[in-house]
Amino acid sequence: MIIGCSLAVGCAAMAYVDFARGEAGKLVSGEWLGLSVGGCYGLWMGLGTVENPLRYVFFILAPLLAVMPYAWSLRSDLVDGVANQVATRVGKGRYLLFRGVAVFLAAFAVIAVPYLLNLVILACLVPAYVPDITEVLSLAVTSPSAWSALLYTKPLLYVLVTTCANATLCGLWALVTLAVSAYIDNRVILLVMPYVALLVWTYYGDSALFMAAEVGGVSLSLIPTLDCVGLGTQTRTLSSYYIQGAAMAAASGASLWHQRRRDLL
Amino acid sequence: MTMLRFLRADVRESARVLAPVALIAFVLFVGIDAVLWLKCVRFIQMGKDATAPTFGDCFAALYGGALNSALNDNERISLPMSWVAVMAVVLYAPLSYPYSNLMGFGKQLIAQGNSRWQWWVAKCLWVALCTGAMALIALLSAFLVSSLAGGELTLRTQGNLPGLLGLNGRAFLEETAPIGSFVVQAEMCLLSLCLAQLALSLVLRPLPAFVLVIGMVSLSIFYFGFPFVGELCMWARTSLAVNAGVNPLAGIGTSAVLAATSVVLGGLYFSKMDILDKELVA
Repeated sequence: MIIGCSLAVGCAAMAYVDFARGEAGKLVSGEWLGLSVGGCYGLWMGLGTVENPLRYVFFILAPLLAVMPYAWSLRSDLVDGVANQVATRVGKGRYLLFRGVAVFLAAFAVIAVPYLLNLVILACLVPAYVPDITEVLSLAVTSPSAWSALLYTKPLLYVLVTTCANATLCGLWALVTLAVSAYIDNRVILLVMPYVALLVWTYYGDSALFMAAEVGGVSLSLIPTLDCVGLGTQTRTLSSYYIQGAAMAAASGASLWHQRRRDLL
Repeated sequence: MTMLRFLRADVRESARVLAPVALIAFVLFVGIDAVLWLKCVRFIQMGKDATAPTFGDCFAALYGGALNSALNDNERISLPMSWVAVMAVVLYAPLSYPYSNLMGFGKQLIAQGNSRWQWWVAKCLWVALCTGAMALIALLSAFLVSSLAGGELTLRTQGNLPGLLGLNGRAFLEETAPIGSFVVQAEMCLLSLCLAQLALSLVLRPLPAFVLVIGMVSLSIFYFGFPFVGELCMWARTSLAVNAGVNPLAGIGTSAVLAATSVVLGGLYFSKMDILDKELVA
């Protein structure tokens, strides 16, 4: 949470410095660009109208940050013997369910809070212009992008929906890691190996496969989906959320169900 | 002598952990080179200037990276995910074993050998071996794909390689130089990053150390110069490819200094570190 919030505050500071120094100020008074790009919604880290390295670092690290606080707790409980004690009192199914809920909520908070913190800081410093559809080239949120209509009509709702959706995906990713923890003992391997595999998949799932098939399509990887624009080569549509969400929920659900039948000893 | 025994034990103990990482690395490296081959075929079909990928092309594709933003003519930097993935895999390989060894069997070895420095130097040598193994996998993948594609087994790169890697071709030299010195520079840089990560993992523990190093490496996509040494692993930032690039000799020197600093500072910290009061990794 501290790392994510630091990156979010850094993003807001960089955006504001650009705004104050005139780079974003040029956007405000520029001949070709309207006011709204330089507003707090236009500069929000989820959109990335202004080139900001820290937001890319946040997106690259987000799946790792999401699993750091709690995703290894099941393995820790199994090793310490706490799982046996709790499961005998509340039942194995309930124990795994609430362990899953705790992991999901922790990951959700780790991702959602930096997104919202960034907006709050920007809203304190720059005007809250509603993004204008005529600036779609700068904002780069086009009609196939998820909830794009909301951005140009109710931007605060767009920010909240996008934040919740991205945090939910990260929560599901943490559940996948929790499910894997039933099989891997070493904490470092448990938390980092799925992340490295995700980075490899980001390369294959978001560029190589589509390029080989000579088709465009939806973003199939978590990291580009967290960013609204710029990171992925494929479009981040609603289908991106549905496909990835369903895949991660099914994988983690099946693994935890299997874990329910395993001997805790 | 004790150190060699430490090292032998490390190699034996870590083989089980490293085997899956080596497999992931091989799949990733071959995949990236295969995509380059596919792009070459496309370019040839479209009548653009391209040949089958050479050995040099395939290696440069693995460590292509991104252009220095100052050379990029106001174009937005597109995030080089393949480069980030390669860096993450190589940095991950030596991450977990040294600390888990220290929290378990390693303590007995230190007590038996009666020297912390020997244990530390053995771990540094093990990290060097591990990075060397990753380098071998990269070279093997490049050799495999260029051979299959019918490309020349030379360290020269083709003229249109920046275009094939999706980089802004205008910033590159008309005739890029052979990448021999870049291979050494990239591997030295990776070794220094892995050693820095090893030293940091004693202070911060492995996971935060990995987050810190991968964060700094990611920032080197956007920034250049010290401390963003990740750029030394980018072919698009060397003087072999671009005008104002990093001289390979300077890159190798910087990496060597960083590696030596990590070994010395890490060793000094470890010689006074409390190795009993730590959380258990297992």
